[in-house]
Amino acid sequence: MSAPVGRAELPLVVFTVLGPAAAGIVVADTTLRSFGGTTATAPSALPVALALLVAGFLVATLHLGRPLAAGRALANAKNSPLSTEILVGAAFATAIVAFLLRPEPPWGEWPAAVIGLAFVHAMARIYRIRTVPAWDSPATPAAFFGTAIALGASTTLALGAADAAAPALAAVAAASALATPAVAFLHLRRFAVLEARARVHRFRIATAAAAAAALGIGSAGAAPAVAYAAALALLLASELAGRALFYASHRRVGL
Amino acid sequence: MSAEPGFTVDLSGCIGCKACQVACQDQHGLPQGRLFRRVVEVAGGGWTRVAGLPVDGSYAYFVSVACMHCERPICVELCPTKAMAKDAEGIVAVDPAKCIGCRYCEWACPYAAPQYDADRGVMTKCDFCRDRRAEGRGPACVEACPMRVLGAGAPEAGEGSATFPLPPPELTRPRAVLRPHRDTARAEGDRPRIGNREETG
Repeated sequence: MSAPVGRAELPLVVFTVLGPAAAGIVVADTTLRSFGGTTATAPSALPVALALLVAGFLVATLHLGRPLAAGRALANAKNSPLSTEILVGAAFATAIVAFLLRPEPPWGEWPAAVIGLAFVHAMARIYRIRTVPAWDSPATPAAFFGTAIALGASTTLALGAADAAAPALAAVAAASALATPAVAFLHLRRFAVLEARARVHRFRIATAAAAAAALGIGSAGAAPAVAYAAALALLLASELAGRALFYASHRRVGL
Repeated sequence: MSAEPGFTVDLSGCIGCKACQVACQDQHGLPQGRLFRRVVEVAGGGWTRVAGLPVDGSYAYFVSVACMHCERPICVELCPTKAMAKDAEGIVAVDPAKCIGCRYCEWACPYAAPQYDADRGVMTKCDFCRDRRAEGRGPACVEACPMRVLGAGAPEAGEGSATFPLPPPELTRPRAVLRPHRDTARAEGDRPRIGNREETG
């Protein structure tokens, strides 16, 4: 039977890239500030993370048949991973806002970072559906956490918030930019989606490789602002293409 | 036998007339392309040569499928709004007033039972003809079957076999019994195909 996943899921492609990106930004910012990787005067990336998270949630409602009734999705938090994701996502946004309103709490940004990681985990859990073999795999959380690391690190670099730790952060971003599509390739090649969407797959690989090169150029000191901005744009395109491939791999067992 | 209702289908007698599918569409006012019950045409095998002579080894059978009103309904498990629920009788149905049209149930159901109503932005599905049963009548599909191979009984969950193209019953424990066609066993070791995908969605 034909898969029900298609153009209607484009808002989810955007949401599942922006949401993990927001979490990755908070984790990168928190790590840098906690371990002296940046100066206190460096711009905080948290407002950007909050903006991406809110934008992601707003875009996600567009895939609903009744967007104005989206609040009902919290009704089954006990059983439904989708309810859990929205609850944890709301807690994540609240934690970021709480930090921005009172930037010197006892635990710094760490509560927001931890809830952000829980949000990525909750998002990936939605797709661990036992009747959808391509999704019910460790490759799913790997893909979502890979997005978080690659986009979180590259956004922090592009915002100029990394200071002395920039080369190390660029190495993390480049490693994730290359490893995430590699893991996805090894998993999805069993499900015939890569042949069917060969152009999207090639685009994904090419943009990831170009992003890794731009990160290398930036960390070598050649026009880092331009190089990191280019790397972010390329990685965003790569992750959106990767997520589109992920949705295209949906096939239920049975009908 | 359990007390909860479910469908029974004797595939050995199904002639693929689709009276059940059409009666269901008519009963629920469904547009083309949205089916609560579908008749899947399965075909396999082919012609071979034995001692230089052509021998017909092809086979075909029909599988009439609707919601299995499962004991472990994955649609109910995943629904974030509790719009999809099992009622006191054991029938899995959707409450359109609660549904937000996220289509999570559609992603997961291995019987393609939840069907999206794009006009209303909500999911719809077989409710075992709740209105007709309130009048003491059987489901429209059952009453329309000219071969009397489709029935409404109270089968035990998981009684059905994994007839192609249906999924392994342990995934959701379907509350339906499909008596196999003589060729369903051949499909097990073969690579059968569905002949009417464009019709069944």
